[in-house]
Amino acid sequence: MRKPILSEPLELSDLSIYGSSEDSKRIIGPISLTVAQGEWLNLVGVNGSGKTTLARLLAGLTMEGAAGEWSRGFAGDMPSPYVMQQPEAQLFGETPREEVHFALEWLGVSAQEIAPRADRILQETGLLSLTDCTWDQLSGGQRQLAAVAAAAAGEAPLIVFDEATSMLDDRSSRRVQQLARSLHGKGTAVVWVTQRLHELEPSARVIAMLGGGIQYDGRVREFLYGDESRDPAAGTAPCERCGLRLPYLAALGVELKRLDRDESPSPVTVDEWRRVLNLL
Amino acid sequence: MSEQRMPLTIQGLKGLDGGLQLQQGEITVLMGPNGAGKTRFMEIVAGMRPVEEWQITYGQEKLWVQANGNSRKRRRNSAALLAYSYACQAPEEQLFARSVAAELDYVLQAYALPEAAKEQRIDDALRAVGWDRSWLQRDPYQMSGGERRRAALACMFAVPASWLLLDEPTAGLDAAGHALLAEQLNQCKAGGQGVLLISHDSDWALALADSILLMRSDGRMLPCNRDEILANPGLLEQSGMTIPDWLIIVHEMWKRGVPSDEVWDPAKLAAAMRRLGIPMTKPKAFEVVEYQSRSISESEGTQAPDRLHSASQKRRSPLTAFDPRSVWLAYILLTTGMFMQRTWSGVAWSALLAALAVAAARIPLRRWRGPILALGMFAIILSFMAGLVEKQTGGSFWSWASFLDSLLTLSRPWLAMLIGLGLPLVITPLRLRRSLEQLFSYRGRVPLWGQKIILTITLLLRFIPVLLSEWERFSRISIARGKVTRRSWRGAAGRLRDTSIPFMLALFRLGEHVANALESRGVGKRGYPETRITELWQRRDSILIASCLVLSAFLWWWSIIS
Repeated sequence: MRKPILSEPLELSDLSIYGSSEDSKRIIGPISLTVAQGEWLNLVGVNGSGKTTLARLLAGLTMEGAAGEWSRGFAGDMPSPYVMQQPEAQLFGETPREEVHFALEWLGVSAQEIAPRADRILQETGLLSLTDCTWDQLSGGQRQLAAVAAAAAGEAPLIVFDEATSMLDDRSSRRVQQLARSLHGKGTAVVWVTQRLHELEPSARVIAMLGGGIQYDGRVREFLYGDESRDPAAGTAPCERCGLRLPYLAALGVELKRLDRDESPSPVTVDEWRRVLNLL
Repeated sequence: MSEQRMPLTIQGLKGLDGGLQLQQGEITVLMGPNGAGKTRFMEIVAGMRPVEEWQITYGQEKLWVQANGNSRKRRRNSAALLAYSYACQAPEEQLFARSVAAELDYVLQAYALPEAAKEQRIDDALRAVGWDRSWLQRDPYQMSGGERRRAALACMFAVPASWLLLDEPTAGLDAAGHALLAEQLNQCKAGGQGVLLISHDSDWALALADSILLMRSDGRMLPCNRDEILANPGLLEQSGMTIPDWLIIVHEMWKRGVPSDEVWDPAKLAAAMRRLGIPMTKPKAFEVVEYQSRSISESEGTQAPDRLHSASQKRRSPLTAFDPRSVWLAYILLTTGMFMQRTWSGVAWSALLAALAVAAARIPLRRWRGPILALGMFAIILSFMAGLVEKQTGGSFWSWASFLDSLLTLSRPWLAMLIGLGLPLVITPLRLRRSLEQLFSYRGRVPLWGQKIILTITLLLRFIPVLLSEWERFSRISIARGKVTRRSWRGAAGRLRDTSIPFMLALFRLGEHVANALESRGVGKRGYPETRITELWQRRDSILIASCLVLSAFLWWWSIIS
């Protein structure tokens, strides 16, 4: 196995994926995209926009019908951990402990090291008190945390979360997100595919897909409100152009901006809203 | 369609003595944390799951009625099934016909509408999802995910029912789909239909809600309305949810005097804020707040397994603490002792030991009720035949001796099976995989092909419960869609079809997901893992073996003296 080249980014250039049927329709592309080491990249889009295909591509999973160039750079040659929506399809053990052991085994971790390392991971994910509960005793959120723990076990340079929180309520979703953020804090690059626009951090990078292509690549605030310094209240924001529903607070921000005709940036997070409305 | 009033009444809910009555012409939103059982609740309301302690009625029609001539057996009342239209989570997964027209025909057939009325319903249903008749001949399998969702929702709107039950209809829907569905639900409400709705999109759902049912994680229900939640968002926290960010801000604006009916639509709230002159001080730029990576404390939501309120919470078997090898050995010792018994007193001792073992190991026999009863019946029938066969040779009608003899022989494997059911509790598929690998390894390594075979077998075992629950889910939903209550060959064949086609498709999806998950873990790409010794023989394992040895010796001794 080739050692990942630490500084090099993951790059796709003019990459397309074609379907396997006779007409070989283009599913996504052509896409050019760079993910830097340790970056947090949000990926959004309506159903069928191709975001899952792109996510799987970024994770390095086998793809039929790919044309174009790509280099995995810092992510290395092995596929990256890929956490999906349904915990049922990605849990192979019967308990969180078994799951993490299974993951570590396939990473080639030596036999003596597996048990202590698994305990550490389970502790970090907050699953220590649940390690030996079977799946039917755990909630959907806790099962998803176990899937994340197994994905985090390898300390991979890149982890892809494909709508990992869309079946969860706000509370469980925050837990999974928190876990992803703490992995990111340790230097792991994260691709975060989501339908929940209200989870996005205003200064984070977001890529929006539409019809198999990249419609927007920039910061979340501009994605929700448009580029405010350039043309206030002109046209629609990229978010709406992609067919995505504005979250409530963003819709409120858009309405207020329209009434006030101002050009300053609009608040995104609840803390920013509190500040703007002097609620602190 | 709904000239007579048909309120939906549920009696027997925990903590709601007066029962619960939902009114037509209202949209009721069911909210609750993960694992509270919202989907289960809706499935019970739709008659897809029998629950003894609840009485559900649509108007005058009870959902469950007594079957003819049998006071204990209950069957579904078709008049009640016809009173609702149900869209499950991801309803597009339930489509099985090759055209939208055929799918609409299927959901409408139970209503036996006159042709003109039927065509009218189809027109209305297509319009409800923004389509026209040109979509009727389209094949759902050739559609995109969003289009298939629309096809499924059209099927729900087509049904001339008094009630609409919707479970997460907006998950994955685009902005236009959200708006269209909201408009359509409001129209249904105005037309006198009742709507029960589960949705994660709290801002979208509360904007529609006339009343709200809060479901706590222990399954208790609290009926309330959105104004109460606006005034006291803490109600959501008390039910085990977090307060959504938008509701925090909206609550503050309400405290500053925005009327409660103007907060649900962002445009109305913005207008009210300006009318009331609520000041805003926008900075030139927001500073970038770096996410504070903090360690996650155990107290945040994972301290204990979420208890399902179904009361079927299984306690863990103490057997899982033992080494699988010692459990195997103990099983072999005990069953050997049992098989030595030649007398009824010996079988009685065996039965006592088996009962003690089942109780001590907390083996969940209920789960295997079917096979246990079937094998028991089989033993009795076989013994009965053995008793009858005697007639030809001995000349008598019936030989008690032969009957009892056979029963004695057959009762031993039956008892052995009862305690054997504890083995899968201990030897989970992955543990089985390791023990197989240890068995077949040569100098600590297993050849790659051997590993692949072992992994495939154990993964199959692992996913059997998942497949079973998928089959059961589709089978339940087919009751709600097909509205078939009587047992007939035609009904059974139809149900098999509309269960098996969605099931096969779900199977392919599951297979793809499993393949992705395995690949991303490096399975099949990296070299094979080390065979590792995970199980350590402990003192309790030796104690288990020793006590089973004593019991087995006792049985052996008994078989000799009796």
